[in-house]
Amino acid sequence: MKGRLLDLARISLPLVVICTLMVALIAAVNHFTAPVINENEKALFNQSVKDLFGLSKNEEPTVDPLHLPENELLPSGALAAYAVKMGEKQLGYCMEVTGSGAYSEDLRMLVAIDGDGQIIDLCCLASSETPGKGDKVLNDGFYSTYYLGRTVDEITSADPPILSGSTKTATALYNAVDCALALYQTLTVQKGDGA
Amino acid sequence: MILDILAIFLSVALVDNYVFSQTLGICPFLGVSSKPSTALGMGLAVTFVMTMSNAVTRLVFDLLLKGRFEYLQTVVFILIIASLVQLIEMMLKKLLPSLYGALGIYLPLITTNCAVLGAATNALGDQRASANILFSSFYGFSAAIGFTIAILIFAGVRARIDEESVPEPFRGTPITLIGAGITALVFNGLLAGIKF
Amino acid sequence: MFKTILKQFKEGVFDKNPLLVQILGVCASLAITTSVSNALYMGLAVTAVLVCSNLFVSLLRKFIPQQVRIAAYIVIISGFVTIVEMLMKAYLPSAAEKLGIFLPLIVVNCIILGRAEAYASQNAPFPSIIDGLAMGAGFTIALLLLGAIRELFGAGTLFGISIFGQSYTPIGILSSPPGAFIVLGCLIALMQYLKKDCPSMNSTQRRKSQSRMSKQGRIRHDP
Repeated sequence: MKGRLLDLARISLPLVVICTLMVALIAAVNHFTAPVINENEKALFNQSVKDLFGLSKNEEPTVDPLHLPENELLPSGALAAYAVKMGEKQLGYCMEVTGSGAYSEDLRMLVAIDGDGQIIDLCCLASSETPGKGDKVLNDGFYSTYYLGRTVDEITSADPPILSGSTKTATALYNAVDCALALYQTLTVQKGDGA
Repeated sequence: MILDILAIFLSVALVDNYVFSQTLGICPFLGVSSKPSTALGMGLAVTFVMTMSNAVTRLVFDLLLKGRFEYLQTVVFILIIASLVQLIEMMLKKLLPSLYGALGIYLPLITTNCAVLGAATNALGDQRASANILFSSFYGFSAAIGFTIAILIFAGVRARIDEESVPEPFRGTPITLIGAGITALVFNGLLAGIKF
Repeated sequence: MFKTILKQFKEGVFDKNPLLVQILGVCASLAITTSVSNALYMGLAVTAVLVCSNLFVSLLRKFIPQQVRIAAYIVIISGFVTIVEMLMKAYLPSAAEKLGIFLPLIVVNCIILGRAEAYASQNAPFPSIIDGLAMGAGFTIALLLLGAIRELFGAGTLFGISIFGQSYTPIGILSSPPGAFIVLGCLIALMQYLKKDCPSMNSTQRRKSQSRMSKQGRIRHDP
């Protein structure tokens, strides 16, 4: 009995030591990289917001997160909404949303909408599958002409566009924008009630 | 609810099939597809392990890792999968020797099947499957069914390939890979026509 | 000394190329070789993990008990994969984003576990590092080849720069997963063809493979 326990200890002790060693190593690296990764994500987000509103490099907009309603009015897929200001001037809103395609393809997108409900621009932050695929659909022309410069009311009242080509990603994109528009409407309706 | 379940199944089992469209789990796909019977055995073993492992990894992620220790995800997941495979092997040997006889030889191979770790990781990021542990587990099950479908179809194709005369440099793995490519083309092309 | 290093490299790149001869690590190779830059990043990541894990396994080879060695290797490998993943996310975010799930999946890449078991667990640290470098180089070169073919003909670009100009119609299938299978199959066939002509392949192995072929017997010969 004692011999078996000793054997067990002889086998498991090195394993435990190795596990501890590796976990310590990972934790140490994480300690250094986690802030950098956070910083990167923030920088990417800021850059995307600037691109959306067509700001130049030295212009720093203030991006305030808006409070999302926690009820059934909130469309599924809505992540966050921001009010974007440049100094005193209100530039518009930025909706962060995810849309899933008919299958598993998820797109995380930013949709910029100005104060009058006109869509300024869209961009794709991340895609769960092949990254860059979303950009391809965005650069396709059809989607930019379909959405850009039109108002939220115009788009939501019209029939959905006929999706063609790379349909999986296109559906995801359409759903994401749809969600952003719904989120915009929820937020503005709420504001109207408050005023 | 039911729509979500259907969507998960259709997406991972057929449309984004793990083998043909995401190219995960290719090693066993090429290695064990020479006969339909062994292909079926491997498929069943993978289904068994993947359903369990997705549930367990999700549980451990929610209980231990979420928030503070997310960076340990890969280490913990692969250890869970490796020990789960060992555990399943021991349990099958004791409780269901007949099933063990059929699946036993495939079980050790599963630890290094990247589809298992891939499914566990993917299920966390998937919008539908991340809802709860049952969906997570079902995601693993669907992915494994997709794997089984792929390996079974390909076992049939391979039976034909082996009978053909193939130019010498192409014998063995190359012709198998090219066959797999054409099978994938047919599979993906067939499903691309279906819209939901 | 120098000669053995050279020999190890020749083995890693040609005789025992992990992807084209040993057919290991196929999943990641098929998925991420849609462009040359992705292939390069993946190759470098795998090489880094391979070198680190080989060094560690070699240093600890007398300390790790025989019964639990695979578990120990898996812990070491997954640890280094996580570290490489975190470093890439921090300093090469776009590359990390492109490799996506295949970055953590390096853990189950059979090359790394295979080299730990077959080489590093029996050799001193320095040769193990060289072995890691050589195998990593072989894998990277194979990935680059695959990536170059797929990007050049599948998209008409190399490293994102247009090569054939506007008038070229890309062969879309090459950048899709089925195309990856087919191109890899052709590359392996090329490797087998080259190896057949290569005198370094020893004659017994050759005879064996020939006798295996004749034993198949079912091969039909067209007139």
